[in-house]
Amino acid sequence: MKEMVEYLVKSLADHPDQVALAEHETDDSILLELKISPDDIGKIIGKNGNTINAIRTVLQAAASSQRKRVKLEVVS
Amino acid sequence: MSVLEFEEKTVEDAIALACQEFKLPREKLEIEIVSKGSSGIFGIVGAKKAKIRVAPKELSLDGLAERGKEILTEILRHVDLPTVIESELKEDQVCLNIISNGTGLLIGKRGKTLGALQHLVAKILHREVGENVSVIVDTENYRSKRETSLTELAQQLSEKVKKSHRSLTTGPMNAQDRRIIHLALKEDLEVRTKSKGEGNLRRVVIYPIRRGKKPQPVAALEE
Repeated sequence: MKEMVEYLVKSLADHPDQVALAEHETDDSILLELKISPDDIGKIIGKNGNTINAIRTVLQAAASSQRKRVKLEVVS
Repeated sequence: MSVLEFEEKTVEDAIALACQEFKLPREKLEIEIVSKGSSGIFGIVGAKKAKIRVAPKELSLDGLAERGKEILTEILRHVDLPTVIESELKEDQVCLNIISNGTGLLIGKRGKTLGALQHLVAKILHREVGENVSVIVDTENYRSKRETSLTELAQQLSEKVKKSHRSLTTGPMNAQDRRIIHLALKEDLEVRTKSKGEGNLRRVVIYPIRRGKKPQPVAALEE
């Protein structure tokens, strides 16, 4: 799960080395907190949040294949 | 694209620098070694820097399709599903077909997941080659099925419009779906279509055309 977001974000970011992803897991849900370089935030969120929402959608599909819930937040 | 020269202590260092500069992995760069450089005697006397000439590799359309397939494979690697991906070029479009076990998990509600995968692959490809690439991601013939049902919907709506002489509006649709509606009714001379609304809420309005009369004022009706 985490690797997937990492792969996606790193492929899209200008500063892949500044991508940090924290994972907080509770019983049946996972919270992913994404930290990226301020220059990349806009790019990862995308117009109208299109890109971050696409990442979330794909992530949810991946999570539901493992019967889990997952949330992805961009933190700064 | 541009050719740049890099000088470093060793060829390896220079290549690493080039990768950083172009923000591309090594396989995507055309690298020409100008001089290998030498550390000289005791690394002091007569040390020469290594020099390389680097340009990003131009990707052919076939290469793009192949790369698209790799990206999609990488994304789907983390989904607990057996998947095989076929890539194909259709009129400059990269078409990626996912063959899976048919649960519809990768389609999502109204093709949401499929759309998201498509968006991400297109975005990553765009970043790598620096130009827009049109990418279609499909699975289990979802796109062609959707096209058939949307064309049917368009026809039904246009019949209603012709009977009632009032305009009708579809539900909110993405650009791809709207395009199908527009194309389905392009040949129909008694109605015309127009997209209305902003962002994710854009819909298609179907207006009646009456000969010799101006089109009636728009009364947007919910589908």
